[in-house]
Amino acid sequence: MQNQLETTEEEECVLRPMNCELNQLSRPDGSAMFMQGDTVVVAGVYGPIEAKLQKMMHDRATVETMFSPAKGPPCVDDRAKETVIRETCEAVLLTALHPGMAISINVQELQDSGGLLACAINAACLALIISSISMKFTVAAVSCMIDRESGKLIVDPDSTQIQQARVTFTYVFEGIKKDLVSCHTTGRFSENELMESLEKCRAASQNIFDFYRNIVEQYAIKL
Amino acid sequence: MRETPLSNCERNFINRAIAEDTRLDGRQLLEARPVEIHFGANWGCCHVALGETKAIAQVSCDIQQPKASRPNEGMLHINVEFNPIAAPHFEAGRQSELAMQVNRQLEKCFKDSRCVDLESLCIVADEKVWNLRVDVNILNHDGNLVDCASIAILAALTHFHRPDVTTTGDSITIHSFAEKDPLPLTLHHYPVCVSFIVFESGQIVMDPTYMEERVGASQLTLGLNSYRELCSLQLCYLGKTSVTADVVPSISPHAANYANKLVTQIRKAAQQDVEAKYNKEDRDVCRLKECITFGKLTAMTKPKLSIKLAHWVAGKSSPKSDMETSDFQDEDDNIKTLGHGSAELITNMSKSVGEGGPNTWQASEESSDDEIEDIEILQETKLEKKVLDDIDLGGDSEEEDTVTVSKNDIM
Repeated sequence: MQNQLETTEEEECVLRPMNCELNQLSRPDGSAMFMQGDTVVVAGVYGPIEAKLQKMMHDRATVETMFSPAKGPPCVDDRAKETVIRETCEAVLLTALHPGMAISINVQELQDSGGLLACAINAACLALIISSISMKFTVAAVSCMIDRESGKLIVDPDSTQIQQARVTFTYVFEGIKKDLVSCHTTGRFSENELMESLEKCRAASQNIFDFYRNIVEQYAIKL
Repeated sequence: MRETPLSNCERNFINRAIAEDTRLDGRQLLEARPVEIHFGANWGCCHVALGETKAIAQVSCDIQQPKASRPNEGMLHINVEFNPIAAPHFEAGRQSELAMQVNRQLEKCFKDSRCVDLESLCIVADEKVWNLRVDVNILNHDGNLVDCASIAILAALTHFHRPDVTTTGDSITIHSFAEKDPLPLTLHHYPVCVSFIVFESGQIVMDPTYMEERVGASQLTLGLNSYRELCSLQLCYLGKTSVTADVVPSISPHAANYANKLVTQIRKAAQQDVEAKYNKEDRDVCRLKECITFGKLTAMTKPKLSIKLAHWVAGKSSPKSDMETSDFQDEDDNIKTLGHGSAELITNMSKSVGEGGPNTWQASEESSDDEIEDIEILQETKLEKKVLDDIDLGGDSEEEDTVTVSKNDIM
């Protein structure tokens, strides 16, 4: 009991180092190379561009997403990631401003060492910010897992930790009220574990929002 | 999206400039853009930047049955993906004519020149061989994709190490990298592609940019290795041109010298990284970080963050533990009520999520307000001590957090 109480007090979490360069690519309207630890992705955004006739919507812009893995052709898992990214970005973007157009969001995995989906969403958000497409809010994704043996909750796990995972969660929060935008989980877990991990990730997401703010401030002041 | 058409103004401007031996980026006619190579933490992962053209290559391997025609040889597959990230007119999941052409050119350069020793990839003849697959993803298209992809493939193949295998009788053991040191591939020679564009005026330009490629009259790609041997040649007429007969002899010595220099650079870069990986200390150092040019206004780094987060206590906590928590937070009187409220929230602890039973999420929505109030107080008291203080919890009920914001909510 005593032991449990100590952990309820405060727990130390480590977020892996974040590195980022915006507009690294010359072709896309906005691009970002984003690293969380050793997980590296590049995101490029084009938009608003001409939509394909069969995908055109008269009242809003279509959001096209593409997630391509580093090796092999895209598998089911990659398509699932693509769907999460698309639905998150659809919630983020003010699509009604560009009827009949398309916004193309492309994410390329360079290296995966845990939390790939979270990293991809963060990179996509940074690319959207720099491409100056109107957004309702910014989003930050945080991944966490529960260890199989100790049952410990680890925020932002790396590839060695994730092999011991019983459950993994990826939460996406919006920047204003920190409400949940989307959530992707694997494994079986109890309601308590869900709520606990949600609250922790919500608190940790603030660091990512701070990161966004810092990087935008950096160049916005000079302009 | 269709490719934006090139205006006559642009076309004439580039043609005139080239006729006066001037290139838009200030290069000499026979000068290539600088090449940057970075390797990732995995074996056979490399990021290549040829000027603004960028590509990432990743080699992977698995064990397969060999082809009946070549029972004692491994297999090599080269796949170049033209994703819409590189240019908006590339379509996802569809092989365009350009993609097929580039794929074929690279296959000619690497597979048909037999640069990889495929026989050393045989484990059991006619049964099991290594199947190598090189995936190249183009990140940014600024012309000369073939050269950029070929550099990426060569660097990735030079860098790649496959797991060691031992055969004892009928059983085959694949050793993990921790058990036995991985083995590099054997390369007989090191080919790269060098591309040129011939303009209407007859001028030859090396390493063309996207604009130059579109204006040019014919395209020439030579596959050369460091021994000045020709591995592949591709001549492609894009439009009418007057002079092409003596193009190949006039540029081939220059191309061979450049290929030699390039191969030396690739091998040196790969060797450095492989040596660094053999030194156990920085085995897992990810050098992809060096792709980022720090000091730029739009680049940023943040070191590893250690943050203190409050442990979220669910209603599981027994009244006893609540008493104890209130001991060190005795300034808040409301704490005592939260034990009852939060215990009420989780009524059916026996059933975990997804294991059936009625949905309790809706139930908590309809439950009394003070219950939600209690949970909020709990969160506030716990969150007070944290580094992150500006999380707005007020006014949010719990159910709202878990609702996915769909597009219909905004319309």
